[in-house]
Amino acid sequence: MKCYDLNIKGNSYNCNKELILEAHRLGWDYFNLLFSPESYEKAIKYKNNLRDEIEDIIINNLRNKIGLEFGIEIHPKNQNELYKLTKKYRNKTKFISVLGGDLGVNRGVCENIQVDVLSRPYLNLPSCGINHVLAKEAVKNYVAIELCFNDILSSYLSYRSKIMAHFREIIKLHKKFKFPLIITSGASSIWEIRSPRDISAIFKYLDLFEDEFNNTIQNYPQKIIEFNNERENMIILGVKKI
Amino acid sequence: MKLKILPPTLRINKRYLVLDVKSEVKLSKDELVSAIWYGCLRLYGESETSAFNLWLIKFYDIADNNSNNHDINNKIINNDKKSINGKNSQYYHFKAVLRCQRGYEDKIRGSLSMLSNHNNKKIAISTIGISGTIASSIENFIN
Amino acid sequence: MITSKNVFYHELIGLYSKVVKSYNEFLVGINGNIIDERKKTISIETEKGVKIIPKNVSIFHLLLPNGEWVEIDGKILVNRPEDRIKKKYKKL
Repeated sequence: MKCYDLNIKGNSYNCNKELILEAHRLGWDYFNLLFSPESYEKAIKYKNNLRDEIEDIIINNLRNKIGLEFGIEIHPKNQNELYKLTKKYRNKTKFISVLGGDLGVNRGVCENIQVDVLSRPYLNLPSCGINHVLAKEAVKNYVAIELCFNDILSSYLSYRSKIMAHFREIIKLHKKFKFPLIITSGASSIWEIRSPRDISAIFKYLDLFEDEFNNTIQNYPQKIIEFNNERENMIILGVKKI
Repeated sequence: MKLKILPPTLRINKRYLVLDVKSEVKLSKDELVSAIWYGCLRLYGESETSAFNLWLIKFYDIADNNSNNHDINNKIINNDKKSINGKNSQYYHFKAVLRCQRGYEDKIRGSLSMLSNHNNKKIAISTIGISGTIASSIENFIN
Repeated sequence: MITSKNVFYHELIGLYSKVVKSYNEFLVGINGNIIDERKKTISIETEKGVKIIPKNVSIFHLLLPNGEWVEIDGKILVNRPEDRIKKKYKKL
């Protein structure tokens, strides 16, 4: 099985290398480093270098080749800003993820076909951030909703249990409406990386069972990546140049 | 008179988890045990933990490569040991074999991986294997 | 002028087309010129006569006059041809 991690916080060159090697040791195969729009342009220049160097180190490993991609994470304050930013960065990068945490922004993201991932919709909210309306929109526009493992790892006591309750709520909606759900580590240092099976063990007790979990770390990310590679040739959804 | 031993059907079924421990400071066996118990008690509480039947069997210190053990082939890749961006990239690396009750492996796995710090020092535990005997766990996952 | 950018607004009659995917397996592989279009079907003229293909379960490959091939999901063509031009599509 190939495990996709679509949210690793990007940092300096050495930091990224270390993070990816550690994650690869624990069983991940595909890494998507997320940068802020300002640091993305600097980072994209050394992407090929980084991939070559990592492949040199793990050349003896029998597992599949690793995948590496860089993406942009944007933090819009309102819906207007969201439309501007997505238009601006859609052609520059293959992966756009938007940080949620505001009901208006969450709604805007779910209705926007140019965005790939709505990251952490429950952030700083009393509720889980999505409802049946947003769930239906997300299915229509194929916007994935991301649960970040680092959120429960770095919090504790009441705050942690509240976030777990939000996860439960989102998983419940996922089972009913079948919108794409992805689970990521959200790691920014080597201390926050766990193996896929470990994360699966936790989500098992949040009502997300093994085959559903496999979808969230393999099938849905794969579909998103394939779709993004095709995006250049597509004119609208359903029409494609060959 | 010879004492009768517990018949096999009544014995508790065991599983052995192989842990991969990263720590900011050097750990002793007792400290790891307290960290494991702390993690399980935090996530599942006292009543659930009573069924786990936890016992730390073996404890290995993987000494030599505590600075670059993220390298799979034990090549030295990071010659300059300066901390990067103020973050210290070095850690102490341990492996351990933990006994638990059959059927509760996933719960223990989960609660161990939810542990992020113990005694205000960073710690990261991830399970790398499950097996039915101590011998096979050592053979498959530690050597 | 039919290009890949406006083919889904445009008249389809006269284009060479091929059915590449369909829920009905027996329709896959039918190819020929389109001779008629209705709200829910497309008629293709083949050597064995005129075949009527339902749009909403099929995927077509179309050959445009400038030599380009375009893959079209029949679901977005489901409409009367004269009404298709009014429909708005979301930009990717």
